[in-house]
Amino acid sequence: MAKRASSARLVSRPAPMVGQPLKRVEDRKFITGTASYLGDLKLEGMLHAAFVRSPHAHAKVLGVETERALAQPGVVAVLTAADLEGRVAPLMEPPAPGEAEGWGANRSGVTRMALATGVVNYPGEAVAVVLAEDKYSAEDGAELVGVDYESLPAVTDPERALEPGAPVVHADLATNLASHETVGAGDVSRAFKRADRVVKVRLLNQRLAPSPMEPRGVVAHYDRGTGLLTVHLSTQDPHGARGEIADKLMLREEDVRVIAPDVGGAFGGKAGVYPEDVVVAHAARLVNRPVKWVETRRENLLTMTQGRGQVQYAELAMSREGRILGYKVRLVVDGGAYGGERELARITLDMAPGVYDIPSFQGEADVAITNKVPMGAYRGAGRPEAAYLIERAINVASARMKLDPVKVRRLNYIKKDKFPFKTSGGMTYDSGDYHANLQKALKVSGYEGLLAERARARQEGRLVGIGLATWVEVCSFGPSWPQSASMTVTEEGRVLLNLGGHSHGQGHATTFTQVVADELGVAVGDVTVQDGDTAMLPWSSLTAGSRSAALSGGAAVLCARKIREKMAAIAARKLGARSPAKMVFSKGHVFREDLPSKRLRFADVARMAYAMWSLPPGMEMTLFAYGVYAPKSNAYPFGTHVALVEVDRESGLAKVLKYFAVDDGGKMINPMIVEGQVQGGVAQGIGQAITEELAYDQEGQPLSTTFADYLIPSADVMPHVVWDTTNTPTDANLLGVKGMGEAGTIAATPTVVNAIEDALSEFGALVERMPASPAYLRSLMKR
Amino acid sequence: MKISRRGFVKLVIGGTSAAVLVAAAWLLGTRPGRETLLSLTEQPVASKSVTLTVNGAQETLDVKANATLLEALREDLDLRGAKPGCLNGECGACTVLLDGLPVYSCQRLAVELSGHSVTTIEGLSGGASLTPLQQAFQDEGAFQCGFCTPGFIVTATALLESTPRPSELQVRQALSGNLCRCGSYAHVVKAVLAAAEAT
Repeated sequence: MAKRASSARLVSRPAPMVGQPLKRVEDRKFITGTASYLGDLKLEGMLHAAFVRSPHAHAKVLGVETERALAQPGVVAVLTAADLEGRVAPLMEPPAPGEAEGWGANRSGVTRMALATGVVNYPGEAVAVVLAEDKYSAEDGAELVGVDYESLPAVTDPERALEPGAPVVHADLATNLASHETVGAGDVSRAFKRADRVVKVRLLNQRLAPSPMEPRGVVAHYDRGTGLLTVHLSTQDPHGARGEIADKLMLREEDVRVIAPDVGGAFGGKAGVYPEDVVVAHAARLVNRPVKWVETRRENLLTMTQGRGQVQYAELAMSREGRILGYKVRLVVDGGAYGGERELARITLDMAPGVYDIPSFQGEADVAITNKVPMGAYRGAGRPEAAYLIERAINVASARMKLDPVKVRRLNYIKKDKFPFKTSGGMTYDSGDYHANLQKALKVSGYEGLLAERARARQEGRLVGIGLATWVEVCSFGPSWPQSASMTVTEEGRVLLNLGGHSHGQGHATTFTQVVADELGVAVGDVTVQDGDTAMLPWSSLTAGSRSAALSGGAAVLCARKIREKMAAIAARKLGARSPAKMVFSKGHVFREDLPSKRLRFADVARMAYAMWSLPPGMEMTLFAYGVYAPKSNAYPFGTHVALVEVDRESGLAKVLKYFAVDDGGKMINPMIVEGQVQGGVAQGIGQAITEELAYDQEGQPLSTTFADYLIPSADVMPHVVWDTTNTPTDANLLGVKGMGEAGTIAATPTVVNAIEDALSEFGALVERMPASPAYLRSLMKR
Repeated sequence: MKISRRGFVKLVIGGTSAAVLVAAAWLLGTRPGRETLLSLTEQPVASKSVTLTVNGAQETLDVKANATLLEALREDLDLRGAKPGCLNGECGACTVLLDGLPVYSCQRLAVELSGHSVTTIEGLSGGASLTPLQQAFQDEGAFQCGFCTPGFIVTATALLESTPRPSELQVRQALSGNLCRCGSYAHVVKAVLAAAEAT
């Protein structure tokens, strides 16, 4: 025993890198302007594409005239729907019998073509593409394509779309109902009969534009010699895009290579393959020249999928003291022209009960087809809508019942000893301690002080309010949807980690360098992380849903363990150890646990792996590993945010004066990166609460197509977020992480709107819709 | 009177497309009457030689009348640090210094700029080293996807030149014309204040 202890002392373990606020290793290119995004890419002989887009929300396409465009100097080709027939498969088509199940299944039976065929269904839908020698000629050519439209009645409001007599978007479907979802558990009707009070609320969760600073873009290049189609794509899902593009162009998957360069933000908007991506890839093959397309900001605000878009109805069955006995939710979802991602509505229902132990729940969602750009993922994707509804409903209930919203939350939180906990939404939460997290948030925010500040402000006649929300989300989506990684240790002992999950601001290179450095006992500078090239890895699923820490992290660990096992065997043989398991990897060396004085350099062991004579008999040469990681369960991070907001009585402008966040993401790999994710998420959440609006007129014409109309937050309106954490362990995945990419976005919206409603409490008004713009808030200031 | 960023932006945009056409017409040797403006898309756009200083080196470029400074930098000089984020003068990703002052390079025509001096993100550090501000951006984790970062650094460089010890409010106001969808504002502000402190 004594001997073991002494050898353990000799084995000086460096502090683990995981948990350190390591400065980002990938930063230099970004701060020197040398990062390479899609728009920076130039290929020899490259053509430029410009799309001809529908000016109508809904119209028949009677004819497309391309002669004048083709006569324009510089124009090489013009493609319309007719040119794609038989060459490009529909992007969506009615499912074969028995195929309408599973994620992404087209239950509505809608058909979508890469270029609109016969009918345009939303403003901005692509009708034709012009290829030209330069960008200007392409855009001028697009102006000269004549499209003969016959306008049709349009429907933009999802509730109106489901009423009898509403214009039907797809004539062949005879209905605008894309899908209907139900979720529930417990005896809801009994709960509502027993209730002392039933609180009903209708809330509008507006559509949002993901609007990454870098718009979408694609450069496709076809090698006629090998038959390889290389598609450079600004995407968060290179492997998914490879499969989609191959499928739509009727190619074998190995004949398509997708490369995601540096990507300037995605936020869910770059998760899928778009019509333009498929058309450009097809065009590059057709004309046998590289083709480039980068969308304009107007195109981005018209045609990138938009998130949220729910009309939400909630009913809470409450006991006198504030216990929630039952919860009913009905959602009408604005799915857009092709029904959008119905799964997001399902996630909202699954997560509807939030952090609360609600014995009975009944939820239903109708996804409506409207004449708008399709609905899709936007940071949070289904979960912010759930958190918003329950956190707002609890606030409204507390106010109407004259109860303290903090006490009502405490009364209903799932207790910490009940985890893992199956909610009435059907999800099994891994771990949590909501009471402790709330307690810390009250402390960090100086809640008593905020109450005093509010009282003082109100005495001065100011409209100041406090908002609080406790959020939870489902993260990782891992058990059935893994991510992969590969690892090479080179002859020089350098560690190359290749990831299937793609980084576009999340700091993966740093985060996973830290993970690998600990696993292999090497310095941070000895690790290089790469991603974004389908030629480097056979398969992976995408970066989305706050899942990469758990999944890419897990895959990196699997790779490192395989490498370590092999290196341990090589080193053990050299050092004469009995068992490879007793080998230690630390500070760039490998040694026997019981003989730390006799060390081999990590790089020397690596070199031995590349020399047949140094290997144990039967071992394969080189150090390469592939890992696919699926965690045992999803993870459920959570937190409590508190805001102090003032609404200007004269102008109606809401300003966030103070903001506090206490989040629980399990173990943090790099706290600096996590904090950045939270700060940024809060900015987006405040944007939804106060400024962001995609307005349409009666005919479905979009009114917000620039950043002067669609107001994303800027430096002068963003508060500083005081951030702290609690740490509830989880065994949901190898690294014990929960996922923090969406936290701030989910929490900030209900927190800020609760505060605004509190600020307006003298008017007794319900803040029914967002954004809580000055004009809207002024309209609520009536007694 | 205070003009908000967006109010300012709207004023600027109103003038831009007309400015392109007028400049183009001028180069074609015509007075920009209505017919001229309407027929311009059908005619080849004239080019003109301009000489300007970019990152300290004199450059003579043959630029089209409708080419913006952003395009001249990116396409003719291969300086791609300034980014096209909106091409409407709203996001600030294309910010460069024109005679020391930050401008949206997507809103300036290259033909107008003979004799002027331009500094881009690539010209700030001269390659090998980082400026204290660039270093502060890394130290504070002041960005995520990095697309808007060159614009922020260039804008903040100009601020620190004119106001070496800015208040937090001054920093926030100076940066209000640069958008970051990753929402890194808190850390950008910290970085600028830290750089001011360090120099």
